[in-house]
Amino acid sequence: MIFALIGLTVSLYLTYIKVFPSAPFCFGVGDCGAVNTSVYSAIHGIPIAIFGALAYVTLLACLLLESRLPLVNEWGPIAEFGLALAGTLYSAYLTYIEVAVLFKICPYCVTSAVMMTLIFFISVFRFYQAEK
Amino acid sequence: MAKKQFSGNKQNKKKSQTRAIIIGGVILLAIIVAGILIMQSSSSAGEFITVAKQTWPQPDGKALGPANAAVVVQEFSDFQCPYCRQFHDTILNKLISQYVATGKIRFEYHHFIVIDGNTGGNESRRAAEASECANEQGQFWDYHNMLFANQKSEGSGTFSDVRLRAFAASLGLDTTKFNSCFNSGKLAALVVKDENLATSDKLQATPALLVNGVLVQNPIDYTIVQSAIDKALGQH
Repeated sequence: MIFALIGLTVSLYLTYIKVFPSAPFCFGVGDCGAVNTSVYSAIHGIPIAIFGALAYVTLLACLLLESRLPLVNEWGPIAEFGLALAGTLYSAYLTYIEVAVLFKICPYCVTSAVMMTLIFFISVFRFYQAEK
Repeated sequence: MAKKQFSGNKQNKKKSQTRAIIIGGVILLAIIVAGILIMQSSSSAGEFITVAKQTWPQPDGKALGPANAAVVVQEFSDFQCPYCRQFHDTILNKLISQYVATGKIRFEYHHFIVIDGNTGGNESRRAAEASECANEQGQFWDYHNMLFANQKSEGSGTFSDVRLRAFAASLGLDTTKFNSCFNSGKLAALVVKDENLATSDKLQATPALLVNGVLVQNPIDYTIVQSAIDKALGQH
């Protein structure tokens, strides 16, 4: 849940600086502005950070509702696993774009990618536990 | 008892089969979703500014104006360089209307790739090569306008191959011919030829402006450019 909250926070920040362009605070590392204004930062005008935020919100909702709703309790782990898998694959592609195409790193984007990957591994473990 | 156990095993087997199908389906769905997002990101040219075609005075490839003009002004430029864009936006049109359209000077555009060295990318070079492919169809100047209109921060992907092809299509170029030229890199040598010219002229930055071979200091100040050209014109 902590990883999803961190992921959601960075995704919302990236969405904010995309919608209201401003010089992002980048911790003196990489170039957040260049990455977040690049042509890869939106699909048909929609900031991709929104997709990330939606994924984290869904993951959080599943985690919060698992103990309350039997339906989510039964299908939550597999849904989280699928969502985290799609998120990890797309994050891997975006990291490749940063490193090999733009030659610039955005710490927020990397943080989100790491969070999604960690969530994926945890979801595999949780799904395995739920199956046992 | 045995029958009941058999029935239980069968039920378990069916349940695990259903589970396996669901897991397989979820993995497949996740891969498809990620694939669609990746395809959209990589193949979409995204939004870009379109430019209206302009009437250029005596266009001749990457040059404008009479071939026998007494004064030749050469610009060495990089499509990703912000000061080159400033030159394009604030100086070029004035210079064209005052000196080129009146037949006083010949203006030549030359490539000088400097920004790729800063970014580690190749967008300046690919943009220059694309402009050469547009030039092959006699459309260098409109394509050059398109590039400067769509300049963004250095190495941001604004001159990705997908977008450079989309720029050509939006200007109404023959896309089959353009894409074939651009994909093959067959005119890359022309960019290198310009760079060699810049090196032989000992140029170090962009935009660099030469008036009859003499370097103009601060070419983004129109009064300085004017004075350099007027001086050269006065000598003839």
